[in-house]
This record gives sequence, C-alpha cells and structure tokens, in this order.
Amino acid sequence: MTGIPQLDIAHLQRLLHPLRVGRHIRHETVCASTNDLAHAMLEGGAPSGTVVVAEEQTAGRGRFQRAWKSEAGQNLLFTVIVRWPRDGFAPTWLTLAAALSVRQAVEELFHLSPKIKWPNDVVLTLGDGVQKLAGVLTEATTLGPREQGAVVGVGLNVNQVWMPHDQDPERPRVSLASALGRRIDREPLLAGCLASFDEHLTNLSKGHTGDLVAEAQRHLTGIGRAAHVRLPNRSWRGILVGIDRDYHLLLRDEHGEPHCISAGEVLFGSQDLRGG
Amino acid sequence: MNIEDIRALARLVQETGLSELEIEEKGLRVRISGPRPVEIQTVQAMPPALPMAPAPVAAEAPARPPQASAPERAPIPKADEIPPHWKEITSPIVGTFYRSPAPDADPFVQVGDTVKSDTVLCIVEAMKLMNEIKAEMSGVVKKIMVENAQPVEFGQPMFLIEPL
Repeated sequence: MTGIPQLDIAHLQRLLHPLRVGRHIRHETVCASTNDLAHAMLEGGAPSGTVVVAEEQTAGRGRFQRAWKSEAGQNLLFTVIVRWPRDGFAPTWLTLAAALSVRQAVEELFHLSPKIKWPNDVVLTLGDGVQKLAGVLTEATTLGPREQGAVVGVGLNVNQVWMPHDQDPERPRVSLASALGRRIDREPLLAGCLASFDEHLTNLSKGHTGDLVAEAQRHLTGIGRAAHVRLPNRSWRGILVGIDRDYHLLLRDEHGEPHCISAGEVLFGSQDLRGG
Repeated sequence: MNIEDIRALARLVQETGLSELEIEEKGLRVRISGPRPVEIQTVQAMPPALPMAPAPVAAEAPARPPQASAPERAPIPKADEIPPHWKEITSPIVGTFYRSPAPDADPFVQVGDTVKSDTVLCIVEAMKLMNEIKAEMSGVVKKIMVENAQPVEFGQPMFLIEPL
C-alpha cells in the first residue's frame, strides 16, 4: 500500500471541529465500497454524521453497481452516515444536499461554478460540454419502528487526470486538477463538503427543504436548454424548465405542455444526438 | 373535467399503449395507468411551490433493464380469500420496484421464504435514491405483487406476508 497518498485525518478533523458531521471518521486505504462499509456501520449502530473515506475502492459503484473507477489516493471517495426519525424528511433530500455541498465547497475554494445535473451529479461546463465532476449515491433503509438511516456516498474527481481514450464520450468526466491545471489539497475540500452537508442536515432536521429547492433551482444545469430524458422504455424531449418543490424535474415539450419527471437520465445537446 | 373526458383519456391510453397518463385540471389530478386493466386514480393536486411549476405528468419508469425473475406464479387466494391476518408491505414512496440489489444478483426474497424484521424485501428507487424496504415483521412471503423494474405508487402493496 506504500505510495498511495493518504488524507491527513487529524488535519481534517481540526478543520471540521465542532461539527457533528465528521466527528467520527473511518479512513481506509482500500475498501470494497465506502457505501457498503458505511451501510454495515449504520446497521451496527454508528452515530449520525460518521464519515467513511477511502483512498481506493475495489468495488466502487454508482447506481446498481455501475463501476466507479478511481485512481488510488487521487480523488475523494466518502460516505456520510445519517440517522433520523421516520416521520422526518424524505431521504431524497440527502442526495440533493450532498450534491449542493460539493458544489458550494468547489465554488468557495476554487471560484469555479459547478452546477447540479438532476438528480445526483455535480458538473462543470467547459467549452460546450457538460462534464461530470462528482456523483452522489444515497441508499436509505429503516432502522426499526421509529428511526431511518441512510448512507450518502460521494465520488468527487480531484487530482485524477484522464486521457481522452479513457473517457466515455456520452458521460465525460472532469477533475478539479484538470480544470484548474494544478494539484489540489484534498483535506480543505473534504472539510468544505462536509461542513456544508452538516449545515444542510441541520436544516433538514428542522423540516426546512425550501432553501435546498431554491439553491438547486439556482444552480441547475441546462435550464432553458433542449434536453432529452431517457428511460429504458420511453423518453421525453423538451426544454428544461427547472425543478418542483419535491425535486422532480420540469420539462416543457414542443407543444408547450409541462411534464414533471421523477426518473431517467438527462442528456443535452451532442450527448443527446449520440444517446439517441 | 367530466366522466366523458376521463373515458376519452382512458381510450387514449389504451390506443397509444402509454403506460401512464396524468392530467391536472382545476386542482383535480387524474392518473390513468395502462395497459389493461386501466386503472384510474384521482388525487388532490398539491399547490406548486415554484412559479413555473406546471401541472405534472409523471414519468416513472424502470431505470435498469429487468433482470431478476418475475414474481412467482404460486397459487394465491383471490383478494376476498386472503386471510385477514396476512400483512401487506406497501411502498412508502412513488418509485421503481427492484427485487434484487443489482441486475445480475439474486432476488432479495422469493415466495415461501421466511423473513425477519430486518430482512430486506426489495429496493424502491426514486430520483436515484435507493430505498431499502425491510419486512419489519417475522413471517413467510406469500405473494410478490409487483414485477421487477415496474413503477410503484405511494401505498401500493408490494408483498403479502403471513406473520409467524
């Protein structure tokens, strides 16, 4: 394992003190998936706000086990454990809260303007292309009659740089290092993401979702653009209008009819042409 | 909107093969699901939160190809013959029902399996959030009421469990 850059966890915790998120941090050089490890810790009673962070994942994944490939020690792969009452907020909000946290941290630290790509990605617009900077995967469960829990996993591309042939033309990725042309200290970035998530969590626990919706609307990518929402057995085309108060995507079709969409993958422009 | 309008919409759904159509007019939302038997649900529309929020037409569909096997066709009592002590496990959200954790993985449970309160029965996905649904009781799975990768409504029964 020598040679793999390691996060300075003590430094990270100093930056986060006294927030609840990050009070407990489990740091692994290698693990199968931070979400899987966090899920086991959640079921085992780990407190809310516990963070699992790994330098490398051997079975990192996005939705439905889609592989998430990341070079060891280059990026930020972390999962936050959240527990809250079953009569509390809908777990969907955690995905948005995490995406907005990443967005805000990147904007504040690097003066970039990342956007939210509905529902769970953070993207940068470079040239005429929307490129994926980070993705969020939330998995929620019940923890008995009164409590629910979730693991909120984030993969954020930091110092990895891809060769063109490593890119999926339909889903191009970008890292902060490639966007800025320099290596990035990961601890302040992770601290920024977690501090922002802590704040969102506090608001959610009070039942406040309006700020999340407004912030998402402000930073949603593709508003006013022609978009194609693709599902396995149908698709929708139209102009992307925004989101509603439940974080559903709003699309207006060629006849001016509005559609409220709760599933599917959003594609724009050339992606759309390739995606069909 | 009157009954003739709703009939016309139902015909439209049947003729076009749409799996679902939802229309909102004057605070009344009508959702028609196909294919046959056509189901018509009405729900009270919610006031929009954002100025541009339109009357929604829900698009809810599988986010991955169906892989896990379809629900077993075990002989099941008709609705009025279902023993009253059997419990329905319903969906807590609108989403897509998945019987396995990944397309190539085994289903979480099969008909006839004995489950405990912490046994995972399925995942319901909504907006790329994976919701694990646990049995939250001890019992035997008697029926799986939704096909893999199909949309489910809030409160829709997904499993019938005979308590032990």
